[in-house]
Amino acid sequence: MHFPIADATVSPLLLALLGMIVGTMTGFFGVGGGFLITGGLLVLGVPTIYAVGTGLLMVMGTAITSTLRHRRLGNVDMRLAVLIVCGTIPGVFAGERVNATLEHAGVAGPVVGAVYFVLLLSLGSLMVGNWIRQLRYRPGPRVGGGLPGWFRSVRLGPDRLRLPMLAGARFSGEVNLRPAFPRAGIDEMSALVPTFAGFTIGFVAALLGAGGGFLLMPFLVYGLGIPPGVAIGTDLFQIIITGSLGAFLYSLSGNVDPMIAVIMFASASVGTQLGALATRFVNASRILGLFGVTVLNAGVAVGLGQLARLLGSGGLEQVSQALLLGVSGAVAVTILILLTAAAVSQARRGRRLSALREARAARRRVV
Amino acid sequence: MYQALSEFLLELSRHKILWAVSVIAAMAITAVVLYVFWDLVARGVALARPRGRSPADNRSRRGH
Repeated sequence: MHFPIADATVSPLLLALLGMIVGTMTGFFGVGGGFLITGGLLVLGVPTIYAVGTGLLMVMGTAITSTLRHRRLGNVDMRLAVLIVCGTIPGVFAGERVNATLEHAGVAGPVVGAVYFVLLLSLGSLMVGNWIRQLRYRPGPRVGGGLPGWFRSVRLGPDRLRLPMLAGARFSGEVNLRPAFPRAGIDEMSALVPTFAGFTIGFVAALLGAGGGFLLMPFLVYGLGIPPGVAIGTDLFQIIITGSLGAFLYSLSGNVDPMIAVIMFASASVGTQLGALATRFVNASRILGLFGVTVLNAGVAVGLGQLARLLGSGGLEQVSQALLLGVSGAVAVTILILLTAAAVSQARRGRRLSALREARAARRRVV
Repeated sequence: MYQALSEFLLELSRHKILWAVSVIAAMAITAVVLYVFWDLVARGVALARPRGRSPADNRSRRGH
């Protein structure tokens, strides 16, 4: 099938398959999957600039569907999400400016590649290491200590902001700058912590041309100690903003093919439903472990891609793309297997319960 | 029909701002429509399936 905007001929079945993999991972991990979509579209023969632009549009779409799904499951802390977004928007603009400066100096490619490689590899190693430690020792949850304890107790500026000119019948004229985040399980925390975190993540995301979900999700879990389900839902809300901002900028330059995005998105919407549902059945450490494997694999693929460009080897470039898609596909299949296993065991339990009830009713009828 | 759609998209892509706004709006609307569709499917499946009692129901039945 020929796509006239991107001027590329791609099989719609392969696009749908890629969309399904991305959708499952988006719903399950709360990441936009930009790195995966762009890599996948490049493998399928879509020109680079259209792969990035269409990828961002797709990230926005899957993030909207997943956020709505997670909101229904009670996984989105809106107060936290809005504070993060307040920092993300200026962060994205600052990151774009730095990216443009690096591009002007002609060093954007190597710098972005190196930062991406170091970030993905260190984050992935941290998460996989943590998962292995949990599998070995099974330590109890740490509440109030370590990094989450520090972030929750740190004082940044005043606790209350007085705005007497706005005081009225409905508003007392005082804003609490250390609000509670009940959905995230935080009793009180400075509102500036998520705003600064949003700024930093928006900056790095714009510098790398990504949605930033792979940075925000670990920060919410390890930095703020939020349950992974809520971290995923809250993180997806932020990805809607970064994704739509990026997609709009690329659309202005005409570098987006909406037909490719719609075909991928139709199958991705099935994946996001299944992925989001799977977060209810799969335990938190397994979610983080699988996410760590995906991020670590992406880091290795980016490293191989950089090496391929340095050596000018087309074969190595293909190996890196195949590794990225192959392992991500395997992770998506694992998620679907875990979901199926949970659904089958629940159905069996339901059948056992109804058989028990029928037997009881029959006994009562006899008596 | 596909040919006509392609030509329409190519024509629309020449108007930069209109194109960008249309692309974002189309994706956002598709996302919400697909979410509503899958939500209705999930509700239909849940209604069609006989439900077993949850542990919470059993506890309330026992008066806890």
